[in-house]
Amino acid sequence: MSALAAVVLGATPAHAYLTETDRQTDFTAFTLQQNQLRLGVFEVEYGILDSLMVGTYTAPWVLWVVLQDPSVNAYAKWKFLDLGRFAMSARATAFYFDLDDVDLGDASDEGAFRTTIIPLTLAGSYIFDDHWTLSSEAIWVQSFVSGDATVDDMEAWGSGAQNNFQLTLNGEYRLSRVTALNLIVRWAPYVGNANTQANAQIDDATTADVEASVQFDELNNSWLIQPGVTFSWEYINIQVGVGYGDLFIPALRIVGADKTIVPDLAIFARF
Amino acid sequence: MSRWRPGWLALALVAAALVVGCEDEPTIPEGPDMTSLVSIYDDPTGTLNEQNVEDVAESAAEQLTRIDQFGELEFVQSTVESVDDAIESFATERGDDRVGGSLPVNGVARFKTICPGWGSAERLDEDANGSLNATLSFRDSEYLPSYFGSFVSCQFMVDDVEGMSTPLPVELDAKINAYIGPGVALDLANLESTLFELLGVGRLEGEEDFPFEVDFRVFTSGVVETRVPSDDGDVIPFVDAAVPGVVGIRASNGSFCCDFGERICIQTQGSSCEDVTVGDTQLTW
Repeated sequence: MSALAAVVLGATPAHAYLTETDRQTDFTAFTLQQNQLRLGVFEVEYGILDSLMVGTYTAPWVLWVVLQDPSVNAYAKWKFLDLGRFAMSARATAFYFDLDDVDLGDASDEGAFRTTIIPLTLAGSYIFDDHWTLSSEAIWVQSFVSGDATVDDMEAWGSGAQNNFQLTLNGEYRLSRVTALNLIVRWAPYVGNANTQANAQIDDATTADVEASVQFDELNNSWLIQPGVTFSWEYINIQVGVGYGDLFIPALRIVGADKTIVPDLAIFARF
Repeated sequence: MSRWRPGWLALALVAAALVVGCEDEPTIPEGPDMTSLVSIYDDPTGTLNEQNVEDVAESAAEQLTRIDQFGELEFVQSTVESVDDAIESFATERGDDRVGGSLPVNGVARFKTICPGWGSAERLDEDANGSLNATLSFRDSEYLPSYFGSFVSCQFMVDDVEGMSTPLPVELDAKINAYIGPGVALDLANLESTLFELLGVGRLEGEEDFPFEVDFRVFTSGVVETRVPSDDGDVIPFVDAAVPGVVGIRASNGSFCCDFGERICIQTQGSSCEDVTVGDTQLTW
């Protein structure tokens, strides 16, 4: 907390309207400016350099407090190319969950998981003019699950989580320095199957080795179209959107199935 | 002003992640192809007539007795059901990662059970009691039509052998193939029958080994079928727990219900001997 306080206290006050230098950092290649702080309900970000920022999602920390199980996450975003109108960045995010006593449902006992999810993003943004900006992201999500999950006396291990590759297109149209319209299109052309091994003590005399692969094939080509609007005042920013398509779990980037209405909300202050 | 950073590093990170992500899926062993055998059970190729009925009846009685002595491999079936409970729980949990339903699961379960033995050794003494090993594969959350395994000097006791008041100690050293048919769900809820094929030797306590190469089909309804040769193909004798003392025989020329004690078979219109509708043909010997 002391580090965060120092960051807050040391942050350079800055305007947060939509300007040439202050640009949206979600679904784009842009980063915060040096010493800028984004303090949000769901995310906290800080600009170490104009081209390098770090951040974290708040929900996993809340999960840690609620479940008393370690849940940590952090990300870094590096704008490695800035040609004025065109920028590119790379971003790495890491989530780590160490969950004990997880209720797996009626068919199983409680279990313990150690899960690591690493979304890696390569983003590019092109500024057409004062109004239009188009951004695209290519994202690989690598997941690992290990531990001693117990399912009816079975000890499970392996990579039981989902890997996927997804592409995002984000169009921004600025109506004013306060208001911008966004259209986000997300598509996951590849969702990898999850492989898991387990051995089971069926009874005193019987053991079984089980290898299983959850077939995520039908999640291939999941998509989501999500229009929204961003309001950016001097400090306060609100992003609101609602879309339709498959569920892309925020931050984790895990793809769900079944078409549904998908809302989006971000509220943050930018200093 | 433009600023260039070494972009290859970011690209390399993404490429490395792609490589890490390519993990091998489990190799799923296909079970033995038992379709030709199944087709004989479904459509017997041999006929039953005055000339062969005595030989067929003798072979059927001998084979059904052997199958009864080995408990229709109830020991295998109960073990598979226990393993299935674990597979079903495990696969269901693993496939339940989707909002609104379960995803299909592919996989394989290799199990080993120490046979119960004859009671003279410790229950978990594998050297004394032998073992049963088997492999069950599943795809799209359904078992493949057949599985396979082997008995290794597997000793167990069989209750309720006809004509015996005490459990019968038996031993099996054999390969086993089993056909459960397509589309059987992971909870076995829609399993109707299992066709076993045994290739090996059997032994009853105190007796010599004998070749035990037999196939038979066990229905959950209690019907047990086997296959014996006739002059021009195979016929399918069967017993039904609901109709004790009667042996049915399905042949290419019809279904018969037989009383081996009375040395008579009566052709019926139906395929069950539970409610015999007498036809035109009676075979005696």
